[in-house]
Amino acid sequence: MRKIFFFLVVLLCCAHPATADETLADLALEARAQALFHDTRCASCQTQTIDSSPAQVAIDMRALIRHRLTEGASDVQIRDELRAAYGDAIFLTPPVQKNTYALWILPVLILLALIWIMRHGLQFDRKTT
Amino acid sequence: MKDLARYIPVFVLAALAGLIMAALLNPKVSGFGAHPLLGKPMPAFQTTSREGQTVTSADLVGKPVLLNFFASWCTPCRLEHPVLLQAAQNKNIRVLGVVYGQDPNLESYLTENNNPFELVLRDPGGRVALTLGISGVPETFMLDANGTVRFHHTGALTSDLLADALEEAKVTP
Repeated sequence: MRKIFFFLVVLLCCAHPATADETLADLALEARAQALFHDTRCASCQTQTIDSSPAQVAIDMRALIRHRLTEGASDVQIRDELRAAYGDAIFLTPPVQKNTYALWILPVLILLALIWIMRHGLQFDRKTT
Repeated sequence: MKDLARYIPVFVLAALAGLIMAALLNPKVSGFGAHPLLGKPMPAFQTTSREGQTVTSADLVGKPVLLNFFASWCTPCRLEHPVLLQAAQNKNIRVLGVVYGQDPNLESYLTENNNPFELVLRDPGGRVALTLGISGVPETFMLDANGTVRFHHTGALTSDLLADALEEAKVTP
């Protein structure tokens, strides 16, 4: 009995948040839609992507992206349209442009600094009398 | 000099940490920052109104417009409703509402609370909302007479915020 109960709990924990969206019949288009969903931030619940957010604005955005894909819009066009309305922050992946160079270079600099520290160490002189 | 060189990585990390803190504390950098439509013309859209008219973004040019996204089920929308009624008294502006999503209680809401809107635009699929970068309701824009977005606010509008909106659009209160 305990095993059955544990199995049911694990099964519930593994359940994906189901959406009531209508997926596209064209599997290639739906794959593109899903890729866009996973990179687009929910404007209401900003710590979630629209893929998993139950907010109405996320539901509407998923429907809009699917609609634009069926109209033949490219991923770049769709991204540009969302960016025009919401700004760069609508996407999880920041663009590579002048005001984000520091953001992209930062992890590399931190990694180099850490490697340097690991190789050379931080040795503090201690004067002994 | 050799002693100082040992601390270069520490200085670099400290400087980077300082940059990150400065960015996090800057309201224009944190989160979504200033609305991207501020200072820009209202984007093109078309929809129908509750009053039976077809309304496009071009119809919002000529007189300053207070454009308010709302829903009958939205509590902050009910809180700000008196401010919208106050705005509707100003003959120098037009007050337009956009009802976000399907709203079966729209008519009773407007009847019970008085209707401040010259027109109520319908947006059942949220397409107008997404074109204007809406994150939820209530959300308010103020357009000047040329149709340029001069003010944006997310959340309930207050009398002070209404005064700010009018000032930004250069409207006499």
